[in-house]
Amino acid sequence: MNANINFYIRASLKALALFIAFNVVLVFVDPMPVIARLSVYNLLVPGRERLPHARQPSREYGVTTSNLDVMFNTHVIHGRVKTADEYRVVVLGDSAAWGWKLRPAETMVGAMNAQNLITPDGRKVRVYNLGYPIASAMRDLLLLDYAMRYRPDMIIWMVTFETLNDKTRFDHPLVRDNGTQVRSLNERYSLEADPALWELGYRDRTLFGLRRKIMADAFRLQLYGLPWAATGIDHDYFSPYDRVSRDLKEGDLFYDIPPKTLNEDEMTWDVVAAMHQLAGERPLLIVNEPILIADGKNSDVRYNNVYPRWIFDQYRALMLSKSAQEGWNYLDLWDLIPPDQFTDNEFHMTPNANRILARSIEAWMIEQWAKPEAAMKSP
Amino acid sequence: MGQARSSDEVTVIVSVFAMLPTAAPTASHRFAALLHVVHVAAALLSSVRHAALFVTSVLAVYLLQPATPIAHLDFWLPSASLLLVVVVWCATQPLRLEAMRETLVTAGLIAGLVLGIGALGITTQLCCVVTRMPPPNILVVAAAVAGGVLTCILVAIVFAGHPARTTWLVFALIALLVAVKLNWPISGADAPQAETASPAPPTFATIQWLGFSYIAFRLIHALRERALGKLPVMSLREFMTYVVFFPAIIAGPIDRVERFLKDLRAPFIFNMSDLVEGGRRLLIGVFKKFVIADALAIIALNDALAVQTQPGLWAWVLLYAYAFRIFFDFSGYTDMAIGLGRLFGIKLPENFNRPYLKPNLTQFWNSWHMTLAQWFRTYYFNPLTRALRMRNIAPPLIIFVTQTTTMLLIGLWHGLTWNFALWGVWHALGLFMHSRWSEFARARFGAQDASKLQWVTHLGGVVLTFHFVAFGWVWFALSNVETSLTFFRRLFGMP
Repeated sequence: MNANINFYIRASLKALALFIAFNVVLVFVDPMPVIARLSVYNLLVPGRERLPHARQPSREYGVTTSNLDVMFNTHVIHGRVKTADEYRVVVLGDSAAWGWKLRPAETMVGAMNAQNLITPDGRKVRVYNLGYPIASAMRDLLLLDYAMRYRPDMIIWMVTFETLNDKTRFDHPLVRDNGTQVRSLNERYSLEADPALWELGYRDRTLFGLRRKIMADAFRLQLYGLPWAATGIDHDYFSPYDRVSRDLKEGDLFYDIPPKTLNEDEMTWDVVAAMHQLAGERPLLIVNEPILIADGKNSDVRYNNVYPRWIFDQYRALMLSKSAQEGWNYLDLWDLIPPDQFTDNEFHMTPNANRILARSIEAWMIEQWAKPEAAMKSP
Repeated sequence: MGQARSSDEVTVIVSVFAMLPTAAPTASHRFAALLHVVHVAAALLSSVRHAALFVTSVLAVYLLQPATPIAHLDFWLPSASLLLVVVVWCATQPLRLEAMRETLVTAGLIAGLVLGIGALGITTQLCCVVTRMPPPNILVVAAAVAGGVLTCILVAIVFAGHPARTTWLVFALIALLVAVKLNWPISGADAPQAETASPAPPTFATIQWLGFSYIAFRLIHALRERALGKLPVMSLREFMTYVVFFPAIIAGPIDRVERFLKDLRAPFIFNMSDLVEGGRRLLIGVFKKFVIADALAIIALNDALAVQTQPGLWAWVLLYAYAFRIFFDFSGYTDMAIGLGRLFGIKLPENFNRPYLKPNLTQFWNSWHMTLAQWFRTYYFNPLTRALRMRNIAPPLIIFVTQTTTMLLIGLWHGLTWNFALWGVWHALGLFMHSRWSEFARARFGAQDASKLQWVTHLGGVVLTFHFVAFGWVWFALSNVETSLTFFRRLFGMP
């Protein structure tokens, strides 16, 4: 028994020493790029059609994680080598683009892929959904920066006032949790920096801090790959929900802001410019996404419960003038969809509405391809 | 009774005084004295071990009880568990005047704990320290405790000298067990969230009475042993500790009372081997349950996945994941219980012995949830078999009837649903077919088993048995027959 006890004591001490050493290594080395590479997605199970996001993991067979390596390694774009005959389009945007309450095939991206578009030079258009819930321009810049390694030929950026409102610049979990990458973007494109932007501290880099959660989420996401493959479900689109109200709340406040003039400096134009810089020669189409234009109570002063008319009208005017001035590709589709085609909020749409939206964007693409100056270059 | 300080402890204490240095202490003296001090501390610890196990186990009944949709039930159910234990003790133990003082102290302690937990409801800060929801009014609790005391006195009088009357209590416990397993309508008004504008619609749910299945089985065991005159004499504190022993209250194992008492009464010598072995089992259990089983739970078969999954390969993955998940979950709990028990000097019986590596279903059931199977064998299967044999019934029919009803009862013990019944019948048929096959093979092939292909037949048996058990898990894992049949279709590629 003594030999046994000595064995267990020695084994415990060695395990403790290894555990401490492992944590020390974690302080200095981020293992996530390596861990994320060990992905079952696109290998044992199909890649996901959209970035993982789940409020109820056990129902939606996914996990919300902020680690970009893990997120992208689960995505179908990561597993598909770009071939010479592929015209690769990535779509960025908020939950409306991601497809809240929709199956992947019912989203705008799904509708575009169903069209099997062919470019004039014979390449097959393949559209990838890189939307992610909650609007934020900085988040979209972060995702585009990562997505550039997949060599897109075109970028479609679905925005609304909330996306470009400077107040939401850093107000997104992905932005907050990827401080190093955001700091790098700030430096590369001379963006406004947030002094409160944080990076993982020493403790958080060990298994006693946030890193444990990041690693555990990465592991869980791998496991959820199996039910995802077995069912094709990546989101709770089957639970009933309350339809968005077309009778609007009283007053004309935007959150707690009373009517006022919307200034240019309240918009994240620097991020939009950075998006264009990052896109380089690839076409970047900014789409002012459709919103619910309610027709019920108080709809004379508000478009919906999020936007009073005074702010959204000013935002549209600013966008039109700025894009004309900067030469941005801009498509204002804010009123494209009738109110009965919105689902649980002012931005989320039915499959039918997404098809209508997809047709409008496709029409723009075809129109651009038809222009003599549009050279179909593949980066 | 093992309550007096053991001779080992006395020796240790005396030897400490003997070790006190008379001259200037050397380093080795100091070390030896230190060791003795540690031993004395351990010895003192052992003298309070039983009391500690008793109090912890009683508190654990409340602490582990999950929240219930009906107000205060998370207080009343654990209290009812304790009352049942005391009632059964009163019904099964002879009146011993020499032990009256200890009995009154223990009873007072139990009543005090119940009242104390109830009294926590008076404060807002401490109200939910032990129970999930605030306990009921303290006056109601006090009245209930008084009622409990009167009930126990009455039971002691009625059952004194009448061991046969314990059968009444066995039937009462079975009836209670059935009632607990039934689906009861829980109206919105009963739910704690009834403060919302509109009451929730009535729903049906079983009563989440923590550990009651195991408590009931231990109590029935004691009652049957008493009826057979084999129940040892024990104190209320010992009986309470046995029935609600905190490591084994959630998922067993179901120990036999005389074996448990042997360990409980043995002097507890703090020893390294128990610590190491107990710690090892505890760690293995934690790993099995919280790492392997909980990870497999993500991909294991459930009601939603059964209907959502595509036919074919993935359905098999879900099924295998469930088979291993339930094994690691359950055996992990058992390892934790055995490990914790060992740390306190109680060697709980094993519950699993590599069940998925058994070459036939009979051996599987001799190695899966062994203490439950043993319980049913002792108190149902064997008596029924004996009774049927006396009636000159054909042996195959006896086997069929006893196995089917035993497995049906084991199935229904998990819950009164068609699926649990079908799971029991599934295994009963498997066991019956195996017994018939064994009979046939023995007659046909005799002892030719030692062929070169023995390992092939063994392996084939393991694979076949595993899959038979895995198919059985479809009934067990899913809540209704329709979903189960849908999933069986998916397994075989049908939509």
